[in-house]
Amino acid sequence: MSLFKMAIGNIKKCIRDYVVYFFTLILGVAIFYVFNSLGDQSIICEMAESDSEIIKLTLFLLEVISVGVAFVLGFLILYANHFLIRRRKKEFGIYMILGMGKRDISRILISETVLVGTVSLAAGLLVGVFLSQFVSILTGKFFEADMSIYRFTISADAIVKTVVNFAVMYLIVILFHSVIISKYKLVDLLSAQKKTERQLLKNPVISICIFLVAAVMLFMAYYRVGFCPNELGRNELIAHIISGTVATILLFWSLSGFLIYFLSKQTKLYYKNLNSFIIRQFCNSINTSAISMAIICLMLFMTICTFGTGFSLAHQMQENIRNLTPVDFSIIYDKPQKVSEVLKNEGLNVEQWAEKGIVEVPVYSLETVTYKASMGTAYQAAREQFPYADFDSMEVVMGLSDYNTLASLYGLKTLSMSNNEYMIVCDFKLFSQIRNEAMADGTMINVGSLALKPAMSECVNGYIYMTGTSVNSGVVIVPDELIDNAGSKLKLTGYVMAGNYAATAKDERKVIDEKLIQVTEKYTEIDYTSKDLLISMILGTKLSIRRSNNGLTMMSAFVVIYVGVVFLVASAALLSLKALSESIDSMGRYTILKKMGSDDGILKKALFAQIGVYFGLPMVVAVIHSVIGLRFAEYAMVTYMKEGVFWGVCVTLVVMVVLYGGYMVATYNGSKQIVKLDE
Amino acid sequence: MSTVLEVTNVEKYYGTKASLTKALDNISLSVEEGEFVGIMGASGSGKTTLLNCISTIDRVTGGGILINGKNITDLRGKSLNQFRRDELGFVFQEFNLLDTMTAYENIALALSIQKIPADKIRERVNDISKKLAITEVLEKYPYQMSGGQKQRVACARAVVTNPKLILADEPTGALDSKAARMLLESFRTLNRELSATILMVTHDAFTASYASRIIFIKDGKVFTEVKRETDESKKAFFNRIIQVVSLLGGEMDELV
Repeated sequence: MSLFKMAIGNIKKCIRDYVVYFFTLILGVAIFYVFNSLGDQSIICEMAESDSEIIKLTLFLLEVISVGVAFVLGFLILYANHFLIRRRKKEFGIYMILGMGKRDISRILISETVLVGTVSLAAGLLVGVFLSQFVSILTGKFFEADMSIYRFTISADAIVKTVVNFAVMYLIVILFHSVIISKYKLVDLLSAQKKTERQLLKNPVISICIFLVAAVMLFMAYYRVGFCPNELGRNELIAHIISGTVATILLFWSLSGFLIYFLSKQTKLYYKNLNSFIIRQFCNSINTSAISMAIICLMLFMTICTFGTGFSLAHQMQENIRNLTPVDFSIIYDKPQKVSEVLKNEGLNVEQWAEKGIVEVPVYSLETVTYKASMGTAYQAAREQFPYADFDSMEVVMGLSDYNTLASLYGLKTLSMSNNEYMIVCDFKLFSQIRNEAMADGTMINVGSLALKPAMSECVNGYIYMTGTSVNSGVVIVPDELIDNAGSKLKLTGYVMAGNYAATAKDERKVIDEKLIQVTEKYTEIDYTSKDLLISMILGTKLSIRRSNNGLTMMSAFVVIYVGVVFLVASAALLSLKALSESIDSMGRYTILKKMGSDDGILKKALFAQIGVYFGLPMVVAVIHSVIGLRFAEYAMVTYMKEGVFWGVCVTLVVMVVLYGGYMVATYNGSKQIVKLDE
Repeated sequence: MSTVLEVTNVEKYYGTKASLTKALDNISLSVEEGEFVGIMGASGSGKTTLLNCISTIDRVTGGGILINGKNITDLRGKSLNQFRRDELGFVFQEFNLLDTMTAYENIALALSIQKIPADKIRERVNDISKKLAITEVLEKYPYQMSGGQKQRVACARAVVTNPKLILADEPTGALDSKAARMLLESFRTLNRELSATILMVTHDAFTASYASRIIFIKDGKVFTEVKRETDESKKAFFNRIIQVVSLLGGEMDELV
């Protein structure tokens, strides 16, 4: 029998060990191909043309991430091989006794790796090619791209890249094998199975102490990061991340001793059915793999957080953008000249290209109405939160009916108030929190000789010109009388104009957009002498905002999915391999239980419990970590995520259940075969 | 005294029609309650097959095995498992202790499997441990114990459930002579004080000499039977066993 035939035979024999490994390889190859082929997908090409910068950046970012991904997958493959090969020591011993040299054994292993590698690469690429079609269609649908240009695309570039990448990985595996084989001694190989793994029995007192220390460390970190993030400095945050990591490792290290100590005291529970066996079995597993479980837990934690925030961010961006771009364009001009006049001078007579119902209203400012003044009692808090903001600069002031005209065009709530009152329109969450405080306190503002009191105890959600995000830090709305009254000393600072285009065809609208952009660029002068770095003309158009937003959303979604899925697959595969080898170690134990007369049903339950806890525990700890992590993310990204991370968490859960759960079920089935409970 | 085990005309064939191996060839024997019976035979004589059939691990080709009046060859699936855990106790050559659990937990597990309430477990485990002199190793793990201790723990696990019949397969096979003697003394204690019925398979004449009756098997059939007289010394009984062994010839000679 040739060595190659032996290799095929070997793979067939241990197919049950290889299933998880093989599946992971195929998935790894497919994911790698999908994200590297995105640049060549027709729909994404089309999207890139209309908004090249951000998509180019995305593709570049994906390429950078691919390097990291390659490392993660490479590590995974090496680790898996380390596992698979360790279990075959006895087999190698027998080969050597029969007179086979180490070189021949190496050759068998090389054949096996080449075989597994080629098949998985081919299968992975096939899966990847189809998956990438699916991804690009989905992307196109999501971003309302022109679907007529869709073509079935195979990216030769990505194929070459994937093949080279994985070929290098397999080559490293082969080298790794030969090094390991060359170090083996025959006597060790033959006695490999006789060596019972010594359990590191832990002193219960030490275990409990360390467990408590870990718990306290975790709670401290949880409390600081999750419940008072605003007091957290950069260094403290890093310190908490480090202490959280250390605490997680200590937690897993001490858990088995701790659990055994307490559970074995619960006689009723412990000595019921096979409970004592299951608990021991599980504690034995975490005992021997505490560190890797902790690492897997941390990886899962990162996955959940990336997925959770990433998806929420993407979802929120899409959602926000619809609300934030109610009309085709808005322009704010910081000079006391009407925007329509400027445009007319530039040959863009509003009547020629805009729909009827264009709104153009003036904005003012006033010496006495500064941020500091309008924030009143909340000023100190604001100062602390934004130490670099200039609170002495003047607020933007607008008349009530002017605002209402604009608001009804935007579809925002219109306002009403009495003559001695004011209101603030603001949609920047961090600012509105501060302003709400000030208004609840009844902070008065002085306009001329008149003192105005807040009409409501909180500010109104809204804006006066379109931007991609909710960053309106505040516009003070005053009664109309004050606008016309010279005594109020209001200074006209500029105009806001907004409305829709008359044209309906996409191309025509694009042309107008372009012309407007040209004009804005011409009139935008950055005044470096002013403290505010005043930009004098700001244009926001539906087309451009939505487009750049699409790009941003796509970027965050792709990056998140790529990183998240790879991390998830890597950790699930690691756990699965560990659990399978654990099952091989417990083969004998299940045989004993069977001989003692345990029913197969009960044994299956025991095995399921064992594997369930094996997968569940790192996940549970990771989820608890993530609750805190996501709370912090919600705080840190409050500007972008008004609705919080709920949506992202939902998607994350679905992905987790499918991938992680899939690995768990596969592991359970594999283990059932190993301990011979599958009849 | 009632009959605990009744084996009648049991046959066990392996292989195909073309090359048939008769591991058990129309064998019949019986064991009374409270007896300590040894089964001896050369390797390949069928003694392990017989034990496997009695212990319900293997199925017979023909014939019947009655344990406590119940024909176990009819049992299937759940009722078979239940029968095995309620009526039988096993002691194996390789101890077969669960390495992740302490001695105490190993013994207690047999009771847990029988769904004995947790509060009754401690008492029963402690009782049996005293009889087998393993009280001081109860909190230890298998790898912290000597072979003899392990085998006595396995023994305790087998008898703690008060089985009708204890089946021991080469129980001294992995023990040194001192540990073997201690284990066999334990067997005798169990047999005398708890009137446990023991069926022990062995190829070692010294081990066999602790039994009260020895059945010799050759080529799947009962070759002869030797019974220890009430006032016969162990030495004399041992000598009689040796005589039969030499009569059996073959491999048995070398193993004495």
